[in-house]
Amino acid sequence: METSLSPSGEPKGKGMRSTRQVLLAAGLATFARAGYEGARVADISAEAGMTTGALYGHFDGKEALFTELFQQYGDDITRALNDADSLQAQLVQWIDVSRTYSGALRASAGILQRRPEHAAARHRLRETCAGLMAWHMRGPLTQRDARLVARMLIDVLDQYTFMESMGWKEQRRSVDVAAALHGMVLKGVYVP
Amino acid sequence: MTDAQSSSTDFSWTPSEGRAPASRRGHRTRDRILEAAVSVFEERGLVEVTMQEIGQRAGLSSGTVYKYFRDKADIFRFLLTQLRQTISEETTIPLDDDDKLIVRPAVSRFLELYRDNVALYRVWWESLDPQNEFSDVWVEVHEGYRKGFIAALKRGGRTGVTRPDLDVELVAELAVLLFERPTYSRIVLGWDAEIEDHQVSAVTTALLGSGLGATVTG
Repeated sequence: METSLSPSGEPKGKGMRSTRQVLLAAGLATFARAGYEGARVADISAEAGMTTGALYGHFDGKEALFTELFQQYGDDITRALNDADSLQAQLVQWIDVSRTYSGALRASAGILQRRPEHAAARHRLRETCAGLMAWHMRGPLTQRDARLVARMLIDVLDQYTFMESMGWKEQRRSVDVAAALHGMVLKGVYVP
Repeated sequence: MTDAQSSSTDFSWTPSEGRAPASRRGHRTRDRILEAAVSVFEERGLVEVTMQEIGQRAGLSSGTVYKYFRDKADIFRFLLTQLRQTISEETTIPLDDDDKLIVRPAVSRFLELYRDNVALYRVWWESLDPQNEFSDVWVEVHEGYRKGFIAALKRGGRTGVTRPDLDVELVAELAVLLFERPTYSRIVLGWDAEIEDHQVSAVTTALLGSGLGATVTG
């Protein structure tokens, strides 16, 4: 988790994680445990071993901290999708990065319908990622159709990782989940 | 989502002490409250809505609303009990003569159900976290669908139509999600407005049929 929480441009102490990063990691852990509404600023500060005053020194509040976490998630996942060299590898990356940020995604699901600006950010990220996935679906499938397939795959994995974060599903290896989904895209479920 | 639908959770609405409508007029009043609640839920969800607001929309005092329902969650509990009944009656995916899922009409029905009950689905999804009685029902419905897909895929396995290399448990899970989440994105969140139902249906049918392999590489 440490490595994924070191965004570019973040001023870093010598070998130490910055206070800001410690707070973000604490936010992630608290959201994972309690969801967005259940995570109080006091809980996040306590998780970080700091005072609420210290948190407010770095963030306007819970929403600002969450927004930055989600931004990092978006950066990490688009980078991972860019680097992956096949659709199947992208699906693996999607699951792995989403699991790293499961607290942020649990929080996101909790406010998706009530914060239009967050819904818009999540929608934009889905569009960007669908584009990156569609690029790997070459062949007679039009880009428009490929994007639709990609969006649906993203939706499926979003819900899959959300259910995991709620403790409703046992974790399966991400390569197995990706292989099953990729198999459905290529071959469906029935023998030809 | 196939015939193996189960309903194990003990979830239902019963009027609390003295709250059942006694007369035809009482029933009409209760219906008015429910109708008002649905319209308020559709616009604003559940969390930020008050009983007073529901009363206002129905043209009734909040005292009258409390005569029939304990609180706003009680109203949703009533509506969800009805919706769950509809779901278990109407969301089945039949098998064809070759024991393969007939997907297309099921997708249409699923979309239709979401459109007809968009307010309730909105509140339901909004209520998933933290875990509570409503998310328990959501998970139960999800598990019912999943077991249905497992049964259907295993049946196909016995008759040799299902791909032998299939991870049935995992594919059944993903199959349910393929119905649930894109429909939520589309109908509740209002995403993908430019996409038409038949396009969604075509993708779902392919992924639960013979795939898109002929058109996709990678």
